[in-house]
Amino acid sequence: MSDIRSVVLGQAAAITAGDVKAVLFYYAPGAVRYTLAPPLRQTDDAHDPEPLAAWLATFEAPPEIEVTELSIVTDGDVAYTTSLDRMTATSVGSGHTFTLWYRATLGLRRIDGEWKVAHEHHSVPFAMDGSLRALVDLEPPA
Amino acid sequence: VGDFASEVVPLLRAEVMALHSGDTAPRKALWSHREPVTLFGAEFTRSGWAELEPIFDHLATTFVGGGRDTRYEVLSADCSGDLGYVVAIERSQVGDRPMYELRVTTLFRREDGAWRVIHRHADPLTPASRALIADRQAS
Repeated sequence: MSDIRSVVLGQAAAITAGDVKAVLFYYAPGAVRYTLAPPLRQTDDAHDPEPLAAWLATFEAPPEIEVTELSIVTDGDVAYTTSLDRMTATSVGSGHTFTLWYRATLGLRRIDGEWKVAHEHHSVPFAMDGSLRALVDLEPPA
Repeated sequence: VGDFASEVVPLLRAEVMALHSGDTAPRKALWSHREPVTLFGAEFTRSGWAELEPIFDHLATTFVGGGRDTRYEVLSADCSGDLGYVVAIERSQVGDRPMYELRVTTLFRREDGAWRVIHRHADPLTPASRALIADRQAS
């Protein structure tokens, strides 16, 4: 459990540090990612640093990622985690600082003794009031 | 994707189609009632069976026209020990509405010899799918 927790928290810390190489270290080869940003799915090389570097460059500083309510379940060489994560960042250009809560599900596989992220799914719910807007202003219940 | 996916994907497809037709029995049978069990749904985020069961009952009342079709494009699936997962694009048609698609991550735990769903994370990334889900009750 502690190894898996270290992966989840370590990857979040690497994003906060803006350390692209460290973030990508945690991915398994062929990882399938459902991220907050399009496309619908990302099955490209998860170890390609360019997309992540380009995303980080949209912020004035690397976003702060906080992992909360982390739940870990494991059996054999497969594990999954769920959490509610908080991202705080300032957009380049607008200077707008925002905080976004999102739901995170990670699937992990133990490969050669090391836990790697084989799947990640990040999302926010969306409004059913006709606006179809992504609900980026939700917060976990106190 | 192996025997595991061959076993569970038809069950997922059946319970989603049933839910779209107002029948929660297949979902309640397939889902674990033990902790931890969680839903990160397109509309709702819930944890624990006491929260999940009423939300499934509610969801089953919101689809008009009945489940016409549900298809799974499985991108990844595997199991180890008593845990398994399916990563897929789930495409559904309800009533005479166009098909919509969800990104779905489903996690399973084997309980008493049977695979049970313990987590579903689903979201419609495309605006078209969001619209189809959001106005489903108005159709």
